[in-house]
Amino acid sequence: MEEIIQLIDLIKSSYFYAPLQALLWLIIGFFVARLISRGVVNIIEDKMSAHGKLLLKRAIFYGILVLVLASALKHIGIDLSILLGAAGIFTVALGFASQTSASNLISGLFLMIERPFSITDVIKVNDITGEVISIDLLSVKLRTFDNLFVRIPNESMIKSPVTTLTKFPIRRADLKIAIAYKEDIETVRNILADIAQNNHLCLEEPAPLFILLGFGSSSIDIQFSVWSRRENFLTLKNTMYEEIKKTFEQLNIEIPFPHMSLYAGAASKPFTVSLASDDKPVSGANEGNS
Amino acid sequence: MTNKVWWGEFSIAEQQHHCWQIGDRAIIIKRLKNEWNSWNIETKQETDGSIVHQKNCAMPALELSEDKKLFDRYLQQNSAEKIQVFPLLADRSVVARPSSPLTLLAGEKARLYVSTPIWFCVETLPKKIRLLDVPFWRPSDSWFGSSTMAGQLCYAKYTTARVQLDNIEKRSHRAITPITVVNHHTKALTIDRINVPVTLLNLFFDQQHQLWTTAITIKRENEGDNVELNLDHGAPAEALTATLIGPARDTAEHNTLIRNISSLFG
Repeated sequence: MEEIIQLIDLIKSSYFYAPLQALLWLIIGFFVARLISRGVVNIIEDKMSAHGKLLLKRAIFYGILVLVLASALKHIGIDLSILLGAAGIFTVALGFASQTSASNLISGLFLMIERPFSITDVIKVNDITGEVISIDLLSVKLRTFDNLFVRIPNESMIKSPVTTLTKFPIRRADLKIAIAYKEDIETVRNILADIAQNNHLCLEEPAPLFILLGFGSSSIDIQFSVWSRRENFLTLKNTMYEEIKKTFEQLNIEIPFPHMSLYAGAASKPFTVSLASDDKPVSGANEGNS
Repeated sequence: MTNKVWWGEFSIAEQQHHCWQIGDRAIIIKRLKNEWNSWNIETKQETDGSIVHQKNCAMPALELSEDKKLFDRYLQQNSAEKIQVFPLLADRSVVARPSSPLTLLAGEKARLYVSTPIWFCVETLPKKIRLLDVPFWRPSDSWFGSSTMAGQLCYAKYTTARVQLDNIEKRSHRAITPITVVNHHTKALTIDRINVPVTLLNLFFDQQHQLWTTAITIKRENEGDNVELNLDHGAPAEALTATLIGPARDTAEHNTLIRNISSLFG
């Protein structure tokens, strides 16, 4: 027993006693911070969104950790005011050294405050579309629809336009349709309206929109825009295209292929066209065979 | 065996099936030892006529096939012998339109009639486990709101609003909702569309087996954009002696609700 007391006294008198205490304090602080942040989030349950809960959890965790760290440093006799001064210089040096990381960090803070999207939202950044699975201090993690994990640095998120596809409950599908010049536009407009009316996924309000885009090189180009619930967007787009093709075929409305008309001009002679019938082989071909 | 009353309790023996039909539209339920099978045979066009219930009806082989689009299986350890079949109102609000916009003059009151589609529901007894909840004809989706950002998803097609009760077609697969609009405002109220909160309404049937819902009274007061939405107690006066058949899907905490005018009239 005496030996243990002696050992404790020896440790107490040792140079490492205070740093050991500070280290222990830090370790305990780390676990307490984790416990409290998790506990608060569990108490909140469904009262906040997943994004809000993540933000709160991190704020509590890092807040407690900073306090514990300051307390531990004070315990080992480091004057915090000097340290803060040193930290200022250190931050400038670090800032120059790690510009990208610092930029990502600050961008991450802006993203968390601005909240253009939340976890589980589907977003499109540049050419990448996917579901947000995590918003961290340095990057945003996405799961694309072909099940790839994409990490996008926060700096890119701040600089590039981000489209949140799941912000509003309804979406518009813009269907691009081309009809031949011989077709009556009014008839086509009525046919498209009927197709939209018979598709129960197509919202009655806002009403479908018929826009004549212009006279193309091979066709009259039309945009027919229909609205649906966000969840039904792809199904509606597919079913509408299927129904339009089927109906156009039934009613003999031509969807033209790209084609080119050759015109020799008024001043030039017309092209000579000769018709080769099935039973009379072309003379050139005949000669070749003989 | 045919009967005009298509709802109520039905006993189905094992390997037997019952069907409910209006024209070509049919819903068939078959009981097996450990499962229920259902066939939901839809048609594009809404047809009139009574809903006919038949026991062990003769169905063409195609309709009893296991086509994934039509066929559903519900497993149960021991399938119950009895089922309860009843109509329910839509599971979202329904938007109705008069044939042309109506203008209710200042200080005036009007009663409108709206016909909305009903759903076919089946529960097993005695545990009341929901087997089916399908519309006879699914209405189109629609959006009701001041903008495409804020509003409510609802149903739209096949709903009409009439000023005269005689002008509304009484159909077996629709329910009639009487709506009284009272305009206490100094300005006229234009009714282009009405959002009928059918999920809050009870469903009744009268002596002719016509379906009716709880009547609604909408009062627009002189000031502000809010309107008072009052859900009447019991069946509407037009139904004379009516019996409750389908409870409201959602329970309203109070019979009087305050809503913004833009959430009820378009």
